Amino acid sequence: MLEIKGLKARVEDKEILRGIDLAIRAGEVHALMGPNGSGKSTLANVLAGREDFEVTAGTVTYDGADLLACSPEERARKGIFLAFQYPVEIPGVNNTYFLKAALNALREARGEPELDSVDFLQLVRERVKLVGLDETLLQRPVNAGFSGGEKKRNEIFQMAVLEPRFAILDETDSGLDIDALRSVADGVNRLRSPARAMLVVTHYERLLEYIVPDFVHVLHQGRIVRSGGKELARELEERGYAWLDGASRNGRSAAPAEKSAARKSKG
Amino acid sequence: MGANTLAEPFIEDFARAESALRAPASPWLHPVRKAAVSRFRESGFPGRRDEEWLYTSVARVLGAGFRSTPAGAPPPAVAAGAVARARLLGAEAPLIVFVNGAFRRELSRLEALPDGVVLESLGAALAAGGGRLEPRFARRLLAEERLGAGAPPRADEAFAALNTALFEDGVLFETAPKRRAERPVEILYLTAGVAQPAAIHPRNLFVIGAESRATLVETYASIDAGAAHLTNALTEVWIEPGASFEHYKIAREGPAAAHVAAQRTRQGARSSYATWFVALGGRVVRNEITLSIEGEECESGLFGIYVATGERHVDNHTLIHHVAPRCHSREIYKGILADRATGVFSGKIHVHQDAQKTDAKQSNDNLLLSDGATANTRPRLEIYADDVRCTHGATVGQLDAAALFYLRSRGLSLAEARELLTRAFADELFLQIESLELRARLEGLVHASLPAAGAP
Amino acid sequence: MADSNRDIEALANREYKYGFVTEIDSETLPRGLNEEIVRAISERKTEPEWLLEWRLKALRHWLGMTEPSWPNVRHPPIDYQDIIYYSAPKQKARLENLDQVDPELLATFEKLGISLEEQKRLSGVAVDAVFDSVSVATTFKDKLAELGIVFCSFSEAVQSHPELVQRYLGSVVPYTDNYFASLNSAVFSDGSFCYIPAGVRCPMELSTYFRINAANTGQFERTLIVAEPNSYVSYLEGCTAPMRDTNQLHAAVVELVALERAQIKYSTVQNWYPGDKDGKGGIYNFVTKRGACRGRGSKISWTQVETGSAITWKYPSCILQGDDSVGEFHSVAVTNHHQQADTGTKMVHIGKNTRSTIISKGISAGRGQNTYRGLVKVQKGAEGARNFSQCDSLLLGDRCGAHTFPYIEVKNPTAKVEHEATTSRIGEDQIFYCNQRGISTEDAVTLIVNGFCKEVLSELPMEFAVEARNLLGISLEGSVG
Repeated sequence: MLEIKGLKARVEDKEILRGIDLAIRAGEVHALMGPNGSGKSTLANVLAGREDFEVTAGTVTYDGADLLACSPEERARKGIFLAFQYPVEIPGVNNTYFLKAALNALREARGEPELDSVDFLQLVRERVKLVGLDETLLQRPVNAGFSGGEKKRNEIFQMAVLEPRFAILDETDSGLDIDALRSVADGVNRLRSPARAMLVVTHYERLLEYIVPDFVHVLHQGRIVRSGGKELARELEERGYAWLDGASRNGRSAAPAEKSAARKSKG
Repeated sequence: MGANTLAEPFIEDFARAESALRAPASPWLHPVRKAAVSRFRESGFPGRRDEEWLYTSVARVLGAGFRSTPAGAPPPAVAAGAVARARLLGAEAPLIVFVNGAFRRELSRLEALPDGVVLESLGAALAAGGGRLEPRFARRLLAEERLGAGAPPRADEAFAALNTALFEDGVLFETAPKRRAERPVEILYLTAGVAQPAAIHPRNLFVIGAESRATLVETYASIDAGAAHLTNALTEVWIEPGASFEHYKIAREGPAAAHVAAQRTRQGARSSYATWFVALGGRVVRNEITLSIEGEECESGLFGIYVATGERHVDNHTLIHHVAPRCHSREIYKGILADRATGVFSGKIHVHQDAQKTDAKQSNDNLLLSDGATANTRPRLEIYADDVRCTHGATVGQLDAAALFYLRSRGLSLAEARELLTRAFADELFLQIESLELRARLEGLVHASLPAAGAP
Repeated sequence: MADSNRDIEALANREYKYGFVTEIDSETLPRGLNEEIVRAISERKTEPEWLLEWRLKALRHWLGMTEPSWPNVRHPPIDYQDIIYYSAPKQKARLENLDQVDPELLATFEKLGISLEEQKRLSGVAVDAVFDSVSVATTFKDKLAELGIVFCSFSEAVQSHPELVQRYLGSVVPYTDNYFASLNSAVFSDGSFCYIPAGVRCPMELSTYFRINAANTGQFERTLIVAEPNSYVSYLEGCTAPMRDTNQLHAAVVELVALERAQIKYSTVQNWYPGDKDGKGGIYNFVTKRGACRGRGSKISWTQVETGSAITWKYPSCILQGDDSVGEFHSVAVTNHHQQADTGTKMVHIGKNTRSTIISKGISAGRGQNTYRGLVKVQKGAEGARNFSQCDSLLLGDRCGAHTFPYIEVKNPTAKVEHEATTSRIGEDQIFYCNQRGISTEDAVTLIVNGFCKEVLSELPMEFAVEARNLLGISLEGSVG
């Protein structure tokens, strides 16, 4: 479904992604872990098409087509969904109205007719239960005045309504207490299906106890330095990320290419 | 023309005093004075339709007319007790005193000045050769230069032009770079023994050196309460990069006095500035502050409180130019108006095109305590940059009836309840002052000026 | 956001849809302004002597005035002697019904989306259409007449209800009021007149569509609405003009009189030609609108959506004379490209317990300059007066300006006046968030702008709210960078 090859990206003069290779097939859930500043959110945003980041090398292929050539809304219409780490407030714009505009834009792109208000409301009611979002929030402006937890639930709620084929969850667990985390994870798990892939970006292993991934990747200084099964997450929880720093400290004076080689051999 | 009739005496004053005003050691100064008087002659005073003087009539400011006192008049005697009463700070703080515009060394207390701090007579500094002051003197703000140098004279600058032409003395305050002066210094402008309506034009120059820190209190007061005099002050303030300056100005002249003042401040990068205006006296007061924020990442605070009773008129006029990006300004003015008094607030925030990420907040709240009192307020935003956060708010109202009732239900008399709430309205502003001592002294001063609580 | 910028430019540069010219025979007076022209206008309209005298007094007063310079707008000087003050579609005689209206004219209104023919069949909105300087057709007159409501062109009212016109004309906006009101008083050619008798609730929206067609012509219409005690009327005006590369002057006067417990709701969707993207051409819209709440408990609400005109200069105002009377002002003003708007309101509180609300939403894009200027004045006797003002600005792009100049004057201690203003912009993160949900940049901007204006749009009558929303989209979409 998604294939990333040699992806490099920078913001202003700072190179953040330094060569990412990753393949995700339909039905799979991949977890992307790593310390702060390793480039996790950058990768999530680059995949969604955020133009603050400049892609300097590499390719991303989605369903066999070049994803990087698409605008953010084209990507969304192809079924890519980003649950934001910091969902944006849009004052004055009603949450339900916003979601209806989004869903109909997606449906139009898929050649489906617009959903009328009755059907839409029915869908919303059904999905809002799935994530345990307070229904009164639907009538409020998008994310405006929502608590941190409400914003995250709202993201998963939108995902439930928009039914993406490839969902990226960017630090969806940050700022959630354990109950909220459980119910958000619950919502996500119900959306798992053989046709749908997910990339779960997280700093902690905690979320992965609830959303159990098929694969775990460790990102460090813009590269995937290790990949493995779900047990890798537990290992990271026990060892922390410090060993990565140690690895890079050893290689700090070396040229970038050698550095990566050095790190790979240690990991 | 009415405005010309009012202007003529000042032009005569200049002609009469011109030779006495020459400072041979500062040859650059006289052309500056000549240019100012010619600009004043051309513009005249602002008329009734001048947007910047919409609510204050120059005729009312000038009343029967004021004349400069001829040079060489004998200095009036002033008792030490009178000086002490006019002070805000304690006796140990450094002090410079002017009486009727003239420096009085024997009343001042300058021996306690810390190293690296200059507090002296500007007139004396110019007479001794003020070449180093020239680049700092009578300069236009960066914002104004951008808006067009060499613009024709404007009537709303008439008083400032007059000050430049006619000033005799004032304060030179300087702090050396990196000098952290923790203790405040004080300036007193007193009037005493004024026989005829006298015009006094104090001139101040404050230079806060890079990375230095200073606090200054400036008070204007009349020793003879009934004396009619005009104070027309002009203060130029330079805040160098990284410097921090707190400035408190208190106007508490007698009920026959007119007070017109302009304060023009430039802020360099990463500097911080808080300027207070506390208006408690005077028949007519017009205080202008123009702040030009010229370096990035500055913090600025403009705070004002005006209390007016009787027929008094207080006009607060502020203009903040956000020229540089990423600066943060707060402006809060509060008015307490009783009897037939009028309070005016006219404050503009001008965000220039390059001043992205500006964060500016402005508010003006007025409490009307009597039927005859008037509040005119004009908070203005003029914004030419898109990535900014600017808000302003203004309110006019009376004491909250529910709060009054609550206090009375707890046993306070109506008068006590009114007094308490009026004080609380003012005190809220003083929370902005970090120094507890200064806060307490200012609170005390303002409380003593509040109108006696009458019936609702 | 290179791609979205391109979209935005394409959208922002979308052609003005109403910019066509109608080929029609007109009777036009020579350029320039003097007593002869005023007399000629009055004569064409077979006006009574008192009205001619009133016009002449206004002209003489105007000649002694100078154009105001205080608005925060800039334009080259207007040559008032180079303007045609009267241009009327030629017609044979007085029209008895729509069938006698020139089909070209009807087609024009059809094109504007105002089907006068349709009006005969559909209920809901009664329309008076003003083409250049004269009213060409008014629909539903008979049905309204059954209720005693008079809704006709101003010239017609002068003939049919002279006593009402004489009594109220200039009673809210005197001919000495301001430069453009004086000019209008001298040369006004037509407009709408509306009278609601006591106790009558007007069952439909009354609406006037103004159209400037002829070149080099000024439009000077005058609207007068009188609501007798306990009556109600909702009135809407819409405005369009052809695209011409010279500026045209529109200086209208609107006077509203609401008597005891009467309510007038006055809505405007103003879409005069704004000029092209380089600022060439467009209408100068210098308008005086004022309503007097003359009785206890009367209410006047102004709602305006201003997207057109090169320069807008207008302050729909309420004089709250009657005790307990209410004034409202809801405004959306959009400036794009080189448009300038200096608009706001005046709320003058005279009666006791009078209340006013001001909600102003200014949107600036391109090099547009948008100024809110409003006066809230509480006079001495206005015990218990209340005002709340909220002025918000939205900036799209870094070459535009948003300015807020409230004037608050309070002379009564029991009054409570509150003013708040904010400035914001559409953030790139908001656009990206919408994009990520599949919403295009232009739709995202429309969504956000409509959200920003929601409180004002909800005041518009339903059928016009939709029109206004579309208009906002067209005027602005996406000047975000």
